[in-house]
Amino acid sequence: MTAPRSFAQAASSPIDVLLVDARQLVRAGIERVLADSGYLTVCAGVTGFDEAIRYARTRQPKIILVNLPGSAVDVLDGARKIHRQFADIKVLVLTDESDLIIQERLLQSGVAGVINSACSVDELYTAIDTLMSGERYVSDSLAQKLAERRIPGRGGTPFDQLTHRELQILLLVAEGRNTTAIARELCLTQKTVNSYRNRLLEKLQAGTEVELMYLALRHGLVSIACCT
Amino acid sequence: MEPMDIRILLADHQALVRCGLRRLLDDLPGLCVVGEVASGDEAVLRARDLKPDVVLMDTQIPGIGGLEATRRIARSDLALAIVVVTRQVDDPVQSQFLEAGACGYLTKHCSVDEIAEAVRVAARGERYISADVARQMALSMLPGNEQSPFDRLSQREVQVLMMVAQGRNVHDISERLCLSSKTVSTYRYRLFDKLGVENDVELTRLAIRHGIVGMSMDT
Repeated sequence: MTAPRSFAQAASSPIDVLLVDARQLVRAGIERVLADSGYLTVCAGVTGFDEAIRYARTRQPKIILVNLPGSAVDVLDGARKIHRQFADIKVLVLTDESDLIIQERLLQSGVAGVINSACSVDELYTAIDTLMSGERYVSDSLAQKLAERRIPGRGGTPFDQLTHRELQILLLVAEGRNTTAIARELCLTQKTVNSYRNRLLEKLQAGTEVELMYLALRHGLVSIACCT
Repeated sequence: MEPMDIRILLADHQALVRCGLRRLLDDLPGLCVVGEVASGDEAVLRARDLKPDVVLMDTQIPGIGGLEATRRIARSDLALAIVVVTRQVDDPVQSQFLEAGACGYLTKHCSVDEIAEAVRVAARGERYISADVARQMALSMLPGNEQSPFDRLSQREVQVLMMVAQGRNVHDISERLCLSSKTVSTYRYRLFDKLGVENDVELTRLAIRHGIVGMSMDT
């Protein structure tokens, strides 16, 4: 537990971490683990990205640690917004091993690190230290799979051809949102949302939105809390 | 650990959460975490070895899963209580956990103090259901909110539901059932209405959640 962590420990005051997790009990657990490091402190715990952005405007945390399982849409979107508005704040996202496509998009959108949500406490410390040294961090188990996807002819998915906007709309459709709701959420007209949806059906060769949902489900882009 | 401490086994898939919760609970008087596991299978094994007083069970742990682990631990002749910690208030299977033998039920939106209280109540052999979950359960027992909303569907409606959930469009369904497209649409809207959803995808997701259809299109 006391391996040298040069960059983070060398800081003169504790490093502020803003924790994003919707569940109070989980926030309490992670907050405790960070505080016990002796050099990290949770400056605030918030339930989502809107709150996180509001908080970051007034007080700049060094790190934003995101633990929002099952909310790929929010995470992708929130991470991009934070990167655009606060280039100095490093975003570290806890993700499941199966969320390869999301991880890749997160890294492309400027997230500083993606870490396996089942990681150990020591790995979390290492990840934060890596970020503080100015480098990016990817869990070994995730890096392996992401690398495999880069080998031509292997591991590609039908989603690779989608733009950020198309993927965003796909995720919302797959979560069961209707056109009106999507248009409102993304500040687009219903007509635009419909044309995106038709393009998705065409690009992914699906006949219906239900087919799109199954495709997203199969690739781990969305999940359904199941009974067993 | 004091001899009278309540011994707790923690089951959660996130090591960070287990570790943090363990420290938080250990700091409270009368509580002591004696073990941590990350899967349902491990929970069954460790419950047998460690003989804790209370198992704190995450509903969505990998392996055999929280429900099956709860069932197996409750069926063994161990003198312990299982407190289930779920992700969301409206978990469609909460009653199944209680039937499987869990005696406490709360969500991860609770505080550390509340979970400690639940552990103490459960260790005395009493039931603990958090206020938000209890409210949800009470509401779902009102008339018109039967256990499964699918029980209220007519056979024709179920037929249309299954086809929508197979990814078929209205035209296709009308040909297969020898109905007009308009009639199929009427059935669809009645399904939306009865099940409280707004579109085909939501309808399919609900059907998957209740085990009416499988997780892939061909089932």
